[in-house]
Amino acid sequence: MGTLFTSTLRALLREKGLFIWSLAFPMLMATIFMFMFAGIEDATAFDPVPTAVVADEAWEASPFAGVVDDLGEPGGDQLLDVRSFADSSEALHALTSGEVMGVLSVDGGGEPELALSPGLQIGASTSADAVNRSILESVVTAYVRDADLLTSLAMADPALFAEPDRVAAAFSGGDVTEEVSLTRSAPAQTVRFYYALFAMAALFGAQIAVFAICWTQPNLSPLGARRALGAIGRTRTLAATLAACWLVSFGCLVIAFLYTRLVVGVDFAGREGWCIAGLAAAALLACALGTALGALPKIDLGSKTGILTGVVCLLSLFTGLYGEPCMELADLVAREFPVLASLNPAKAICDMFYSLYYYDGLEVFAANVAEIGVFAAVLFAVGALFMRRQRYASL
Amino acid sequence: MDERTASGDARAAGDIVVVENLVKRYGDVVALDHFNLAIAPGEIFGLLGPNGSGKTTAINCILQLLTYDKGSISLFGQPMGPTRYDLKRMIGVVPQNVALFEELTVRENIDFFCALYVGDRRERARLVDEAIAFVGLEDYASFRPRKLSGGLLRRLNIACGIAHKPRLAFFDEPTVAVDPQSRNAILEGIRAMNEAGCTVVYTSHYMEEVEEICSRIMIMDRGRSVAVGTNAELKAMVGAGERILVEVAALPDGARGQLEALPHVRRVTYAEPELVVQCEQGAHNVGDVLAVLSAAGLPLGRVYAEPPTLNDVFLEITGKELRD
Repeated sequence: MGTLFTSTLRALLREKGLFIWSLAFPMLMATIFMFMFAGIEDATAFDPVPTAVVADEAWEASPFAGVVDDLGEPGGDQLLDVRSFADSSEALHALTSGEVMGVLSVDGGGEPELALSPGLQIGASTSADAVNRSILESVVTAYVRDADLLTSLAMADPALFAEPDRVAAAFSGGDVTEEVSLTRSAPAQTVRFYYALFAMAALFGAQIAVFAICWTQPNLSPLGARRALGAIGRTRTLAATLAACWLVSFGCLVIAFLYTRLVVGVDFAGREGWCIAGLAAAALLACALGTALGALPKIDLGSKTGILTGVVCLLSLFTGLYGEPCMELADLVAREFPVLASLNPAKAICDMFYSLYYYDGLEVFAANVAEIGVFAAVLFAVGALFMRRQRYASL
Repeated sequence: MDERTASGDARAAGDIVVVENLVKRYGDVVALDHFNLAIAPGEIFGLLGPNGSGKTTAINCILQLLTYDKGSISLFGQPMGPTRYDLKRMIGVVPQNVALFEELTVRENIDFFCALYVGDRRERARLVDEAIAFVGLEDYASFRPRKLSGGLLRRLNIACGIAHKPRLAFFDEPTVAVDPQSRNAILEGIRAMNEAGCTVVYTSHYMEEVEEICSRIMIMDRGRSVAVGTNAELKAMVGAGERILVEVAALPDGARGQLEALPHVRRVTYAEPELVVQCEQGAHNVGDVLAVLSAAGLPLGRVYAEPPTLNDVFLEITGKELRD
């Protein structure tokens, strides 16, 4: 049996055509996704807003200067990229030249003023411009609001200022709101495509088993007929063959996974080990699908490959692989027809990755793996129905 | 004529292959019609018949690849079944179609098929080496099948079927589309296997091959055995004699009539310049024919006589040519 396994493995590994869909396809698509999604992530990345300040005497005397300095401190919370100018004309020149997005100054009465670049006026052309304008306006309005609040407090209850903690609490939103994550990882729109891609690649791996099953069945190939004449039982032959198929399929998925993780940089929530365990289950499902399809009588190998391609493409439609409208369709089906959605093995694989990404525990992951196991068992049973025959009416 | 041949395909004690009343239908077509077969150990048994006569179907039924409608099959004295791996272990099969892994080398292919019968790795390595040497593929051991010529491919096909040294080997048309050199090597190999103790069942529609190597021959037609015996017995069965060919410029009707009137002449055909006289067995057929032609004053070209062939036997029994 060991020789059957190693020989089948060797034969499969030398059948280069099998690796187009099982290995090259997911790696190529992951690379394409990487470049596609890089633009999306760049568009949503935030850079500190280049801001000029008119550092005259009024500015230096104003508490607003301290607030702006804090917001310009380098670090993760930096909102402003502050550039000081001695007078307003220099600052405005920097504004018109596009060096800065806005100019902050303080008037004679100590009130902050904001001058915006023409590009940031209402109706700004890009979302990034709108965000920058909003930030600059928020800086000024928040300061004015807080200053008014302080003035009001001083007039209403001067004794309050003897308790700095209460004053600080009044101005701090952090005590009343807390940022929490409902999921293990922050939701990321792009990971869904990669997970759907892995589901598709895993199912394409069924082609390996389609090939190998044709090599074992007397009614499918002369090679199968010859093998059936040997002194080794059908069950052992199939077990060795499917073990080789699973290993090749799993190997392809692991290579594609490592590439996606290490080169493309897709986030798997730090659960790479569990992901690989999930890929093992997905490879088993692929073998089962290939067994069921490969065992179909009276259909040639080329037609089976075509059928597999069509089925996998259709199933992948409902994982949202083909873009935003397909995602909405997939979500609609999952929401309105959950039973139908649960019959999609591609979605089961996709959901398995999701469960690792979003859930803290592994219960959902285990349920997804079990679902994949059920799919595999059913498909193996279908294959066995066609392969149970020991003799044939004709060859 | 021994007892076995006198009784045609009758069964004898110790037969290694026994098939009785086998019936196989493909829909309305009867592929095997109460087919009987008995092969003794040590024979090279030929199944001869035109394409579609049921040779391969018979073998596939014997090997349990095909279902059959009626009949019984015993190998090595035991009933054969699809899960009789103990019996299959003693059988080698060289199928009509070359059936190999395109992705494996010559050595790997032989090793794979040998592993279907022999588990011990060390023993198998020895058997594979011997099989490679047996079919003369030493220089091609690391080649993949697509690099081999048709003849070499056939040799590899044979090596895969016999590497485990079976006691009973089926060769189903092993020389189809093979060059003469490879064909001779294949036939020599089969003889050598037989001398080493292997019983061989050899199917072909090439009568010359069957005549050349088979100790006993069954002629099949339409799924039935029409005659069984040694080469000589089959020819004696129908009384076929030699075929005399004479190059002669013309054949007057008188001379033709005299030829046809000769005691052992069955048929006279003439297609200028070749005269063919088909005879029954007789002591002076050539002399009698030449005497008639000389007496008619006809100038003769080349003259030669061919011994009777199995085609003549087939023609006699079925009324049609073996290669129709």
